[in-house]
Amino acid sequence: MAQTKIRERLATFAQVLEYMDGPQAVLLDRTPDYKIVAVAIQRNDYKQPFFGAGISLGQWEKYRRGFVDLRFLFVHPQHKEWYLFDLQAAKNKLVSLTPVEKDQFAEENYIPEHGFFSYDHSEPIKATETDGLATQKYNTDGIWDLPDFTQFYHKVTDLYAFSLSLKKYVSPTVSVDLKRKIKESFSGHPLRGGSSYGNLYSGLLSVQSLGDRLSVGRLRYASPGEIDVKGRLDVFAEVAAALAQFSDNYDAIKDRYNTLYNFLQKNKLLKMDVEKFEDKGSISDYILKESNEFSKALMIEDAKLIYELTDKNSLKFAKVLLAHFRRLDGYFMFFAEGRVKDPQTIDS
Amino acid sequence: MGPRGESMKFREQLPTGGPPCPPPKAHDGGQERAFRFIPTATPVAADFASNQAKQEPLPLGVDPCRWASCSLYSDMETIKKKRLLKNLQKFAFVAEIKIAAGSGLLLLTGKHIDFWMFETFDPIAAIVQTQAL
Repeated sequence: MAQTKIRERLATFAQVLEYMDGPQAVLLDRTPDYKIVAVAIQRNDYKQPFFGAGISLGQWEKYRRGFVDLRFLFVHPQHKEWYLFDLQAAKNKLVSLTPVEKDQFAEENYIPEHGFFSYDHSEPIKATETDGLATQKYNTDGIWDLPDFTQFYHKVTDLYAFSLSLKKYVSPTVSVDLKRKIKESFSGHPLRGGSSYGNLYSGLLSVQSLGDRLSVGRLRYASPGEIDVKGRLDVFAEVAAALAQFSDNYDAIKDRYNTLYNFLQKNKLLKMDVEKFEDKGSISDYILKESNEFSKALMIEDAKLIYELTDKNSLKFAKVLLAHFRRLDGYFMFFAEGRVKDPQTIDS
Repeated sequence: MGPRGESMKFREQLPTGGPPCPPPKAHDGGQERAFRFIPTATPVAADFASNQAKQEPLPLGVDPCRWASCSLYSDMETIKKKRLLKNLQKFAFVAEIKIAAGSGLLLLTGKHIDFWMFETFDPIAAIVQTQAL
């Protein structure tokens, strides 16, 4: 195997991941966004030889959460760098790395085969900032086809992303760049129907970090079955409150929705690009008034913020609220039909 | 023998002067089925020796007490999974052993077992079967 560079590089030993009479896989840190995942190998010139790959924090998080297997990290490491090192030669937890190529020999002799995931480790992975997420449990009943699970999960995901994005936008710890992306998700789409609403929600999803993104914890496909999702406790609480409000006042909220929707439809505004809407005059005033009433009926506390995020454009504001209603309505229907019941939020 | 076999001698020299070894959570209740990677079809006692007994240097991040234990797994599925790591493919066989109560101290972490054998325990006699991987 060719050694491509002579210059020494260092990394800090973080933890053993897999143990069998000794470390079989370990994790090293180079920088906050540069980790090295490594496996024990056979090599005569080192006492405890390892072969590692330079991965990003995001890749590590994906691996840690079981989205990708160990082989993926070695085949597609973010930093496209591979190393040999001797764990025995480490001093003060500092490991000296020798950059090498990922060649045919490494592929055949070092890189793990497909199917080894983080949950297969013998050693628990040390806590990271993404620990401490809550679990939302749903009990399911009745007949569920796979598309039903998908549809339900999409509703939960959209509602979660909507609420989380609003929280992030007002958080002092969130970067300006991320806030700009949230703003663009709310205001950067024409909202003429169909995919443009999908774009709004996919935009909100994309600004979530792996650490607070909703993920499926457990899915039991049976009748009765169970769906567990993991996410932030405060966001689950907000979605639960929205559902309770929706359930208690469904008819009144639906009337408000119909009033606003019918008005937009009558004035051919549903399919109009929101940027082309002349946001002044009696029509605009009426839409804003109805939207505010609608947001009160939905008990949306962040209505003012949503209005700001939609560039204080009454038509954009109205369309975002209508889209939010449709997702809440879809979510609520699973409960109303008796197919989902007894949601429970469990703090970690 | 005490509740955890405190008066029993171990097969290998265990580290002293540090935290209790084996750790207090280890038990001596035995293990009906345990699996050990072995290199050949005819296992010998040395195949069950710890790296400490082989006088291998203690690696970074490993507790000296654990370094003196023998790694086992609690099921065959886990053995198959671990063989996805190329370094463990050097073991072409697996030995299934039955560990009777009072044979040593066992610490189960997930599917992995650290086993500190009493000197009275004979790993070869405990083998139920050996199979190729």
